[in-house]
Amino acid sequence: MPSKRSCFNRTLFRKNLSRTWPLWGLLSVVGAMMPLYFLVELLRYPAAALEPREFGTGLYRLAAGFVPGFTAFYALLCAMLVWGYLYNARSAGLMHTLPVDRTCLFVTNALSGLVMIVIPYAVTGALLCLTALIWGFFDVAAVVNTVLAVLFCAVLFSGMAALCAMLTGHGFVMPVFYLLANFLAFFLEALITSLAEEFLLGVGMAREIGMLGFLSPVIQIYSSFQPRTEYSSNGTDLFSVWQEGLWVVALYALVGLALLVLAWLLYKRRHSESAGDVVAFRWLRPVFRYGVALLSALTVGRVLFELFWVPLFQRGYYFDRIPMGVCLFLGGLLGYYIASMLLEKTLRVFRGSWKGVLIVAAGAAAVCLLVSVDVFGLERKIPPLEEIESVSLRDQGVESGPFTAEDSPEVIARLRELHQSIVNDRSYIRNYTPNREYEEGLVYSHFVRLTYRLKDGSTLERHYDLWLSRERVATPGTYDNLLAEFYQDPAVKRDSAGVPAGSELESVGVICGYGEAGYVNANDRADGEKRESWQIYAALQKDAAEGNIPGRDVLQFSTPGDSSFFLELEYLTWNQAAGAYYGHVRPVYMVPSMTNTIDTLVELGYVTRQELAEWERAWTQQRAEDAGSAPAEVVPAIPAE
Amino acid sequence: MIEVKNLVKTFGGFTALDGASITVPDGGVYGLVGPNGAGKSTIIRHLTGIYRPDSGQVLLEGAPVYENPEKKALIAVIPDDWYYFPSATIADMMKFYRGFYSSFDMARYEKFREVFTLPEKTPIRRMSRGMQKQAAFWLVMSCRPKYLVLDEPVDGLDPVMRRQVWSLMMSDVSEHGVTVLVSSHNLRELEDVCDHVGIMNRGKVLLERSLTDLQENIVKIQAVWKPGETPVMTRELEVLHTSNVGRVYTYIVRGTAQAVTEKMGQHNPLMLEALPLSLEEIFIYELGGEHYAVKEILL
Repeated sequence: MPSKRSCFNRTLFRKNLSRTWPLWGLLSVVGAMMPLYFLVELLRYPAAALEPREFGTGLYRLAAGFVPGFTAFYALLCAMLVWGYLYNARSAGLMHTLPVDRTCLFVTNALSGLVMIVIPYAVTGALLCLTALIWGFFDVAAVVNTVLAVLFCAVLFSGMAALCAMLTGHGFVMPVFYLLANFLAFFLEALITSLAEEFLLGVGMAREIGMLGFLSPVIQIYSSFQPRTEYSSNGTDLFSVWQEGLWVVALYALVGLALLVLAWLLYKRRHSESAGDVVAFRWLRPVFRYGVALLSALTVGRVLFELFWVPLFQRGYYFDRIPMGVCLFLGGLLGYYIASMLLEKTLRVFRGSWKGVLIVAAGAAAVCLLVSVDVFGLERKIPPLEEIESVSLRDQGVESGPFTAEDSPEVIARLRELHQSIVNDRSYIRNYTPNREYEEGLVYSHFVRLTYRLKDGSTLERHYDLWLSRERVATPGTYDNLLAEFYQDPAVKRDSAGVPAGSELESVGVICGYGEAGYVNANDRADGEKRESWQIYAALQKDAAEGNIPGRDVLQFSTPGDSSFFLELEYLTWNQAAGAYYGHVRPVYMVPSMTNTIDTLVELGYVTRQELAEWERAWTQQRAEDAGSAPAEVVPAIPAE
Repeated sequence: MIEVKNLVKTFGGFTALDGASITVPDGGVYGLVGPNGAGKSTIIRHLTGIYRPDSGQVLLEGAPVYENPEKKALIAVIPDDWYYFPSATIADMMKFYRGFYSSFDMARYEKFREVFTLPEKTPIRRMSRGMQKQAAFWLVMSCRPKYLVLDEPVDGLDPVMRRQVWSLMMSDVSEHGVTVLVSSHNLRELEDVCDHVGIMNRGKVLLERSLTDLQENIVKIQAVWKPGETPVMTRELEVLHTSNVGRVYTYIVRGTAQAVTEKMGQHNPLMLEALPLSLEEIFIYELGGEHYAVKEILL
């Protein structure tokens, strides 16, 4: 008989691995397919093979994109296998009669789970290293980084899964807890924001997860641990590639260790007889009961409202507080009773439940009030100047900015002023109903979106359906007036004809011709080279520098498609979260004052002056006809030679 | 020695054990008897370290069992619903038990192969309930425990195998001083093997006695008296029960067989004979009046 207590039992460890080999064995085989596929491709098409550094970059991206999500999922499966004995009275009985204490059981099972996670990665990783060596690319630092990232992720998700496993006594509930642990903050934030946007002007669309983003580790690790690349100035040669963000994964690994310790402490206190219970600890029962009620209120309550109130009684764009509160209460009540039935394992949970019903009612009223009366000031929230890194404005599909605090502080101040004015006029915006003025074209509707990137890494986004009238545009201080003035700012004019700071011009498209509009990509015209795009862009910048680009008339253009002649600047912006360049397109409307650009386009043979004049005339005439007035005498924007 | 002192255990609002106490002396067979739901299995789960007591003590050789690997290594248990890994064979489970119990006796395991003629490489889940029970005995007894705890041990076994299993256990008791605690809802099954018995109902131990104490202090006498000379025995002896069929009188009397027959013999009976009582009868007559519940439990 053993006289010395041990924290590890080899027999149990071996048993855990031997009875679960089909899972980790299959995944190892599947993982091994990938490097083998790369090798086969290399042997079949050696000439078309990627340059070694590009191949390495591909591997880094693969690891960065795959590891967080897969490890999260696989750790759940492993945890279900090693901790599954807790959910059955018979198996819990066998394990707890063995001559080992719970610390030994916990450590052995946790280590078994970790090893089960690591085995397929080890097999795949070793073969990938071999493949990379054959390919001619092998970076020791990258291998160490990747191995550490895998281990850190394994520790984090094992910790989360072990904690969830301890909290419940039911095998089907454990994955639900785990899913909630990973995405609860995201779900709740999405549910509450989507509710808030139905009450509060401007709130919604982008989720403000900056503060609570760390509670969704899969998303956070995915966006933090990414390969970085450095290309030559012409963008064709990859100079170097490296990984960033390992420290974030390391921090999460520490959290994972803390969760493992917490799970161990809970395991020591856990009663074996909780096998089969939805929650394993009595103190967790109210949390579960009212947590389910809250989630049910926000989902089922919302569905009830949308199904029964909106089509029959809803007036205006924004929700009514009392019916929404009633629906939240009904949804919450449903969740409360379902949770009670699961906890008590009986359908007879109604007697004596009046206290719970009162709490749910109070909760529904509180959520409804908190969201609808804007307790947190979301509707009025405008970030302080010193917290802003950049701001962009999207107006009728046309993006302006982002304007950075470093380069354009005065534009940011303008946008904040505009935002403040919108907030001040929120009652007017909320209560405006389209009337005759709107039908007669005297009032214009603009969909405007303001996006603040803040210095703490979070994003604040507000969107508004604004009503603009000539009268208000002429009235200083109104948002109509401030929006019109914004477009007359020289920095905004320059921005409208250029690519944003930090982005890279990819190509210039020339779209011209009313009726039979044509599109010509300057890169295509120049056999895939960018020289003509750069030539046009340089002319455009010259026009911007000379002040030839007019500010946008907020009452003239409703949509970009209303113009007969414009350029499309296609540019690439580095997306930190995705670890890749994303393409964007910015239209630049051509007007006669942009002489440098027009001359260049004519010189390069994209258009003739005769064509431009004809298109201008036809376009103006069509606009007049659409407006129901007699064709005006058209003065061609670009006079024919 | 196993000692359970004032053990209380509640599940939700239900009190499964309400101050239960038992004492199992070393080297004997202790029968824990009671109806379904009496709390027998709950006591056993405390004894084997599965449950943590709400209050009270569960001691093995003077030390608590819960979270005590040293003490748990002395105990082996065969629960009513023995667990094995889903695809495990007897050989797999043998390796598992051998890894945990350093006292596992491989020679004994090999020897038992002749007793329990079971296929070692067949998954246990494919075996009948009786075969699974035999497998449990095979493995658990190979662990050579000092304390063997059995919950409804012979359910599902055929009569021949029952006898075989009891015989093996009795030889362990006599040769190796193994202490056996066995629970059952059937007293008849235990009377041939137990030397101590505890009776449980509704979470309490109603009675706990040594079988010798009981059997030496109560006797069943059959007597035939001359017509018209039937004596009134209650004056001289503590008669617990009297009945008659014709002239044949049956007395249940507290006292040793020798003392009682001597006293009765003084009345010149035509026939006088002391008969053994079954365990069931002893409990019924011993407790009949005061502990009527026991009678209900046993019958």
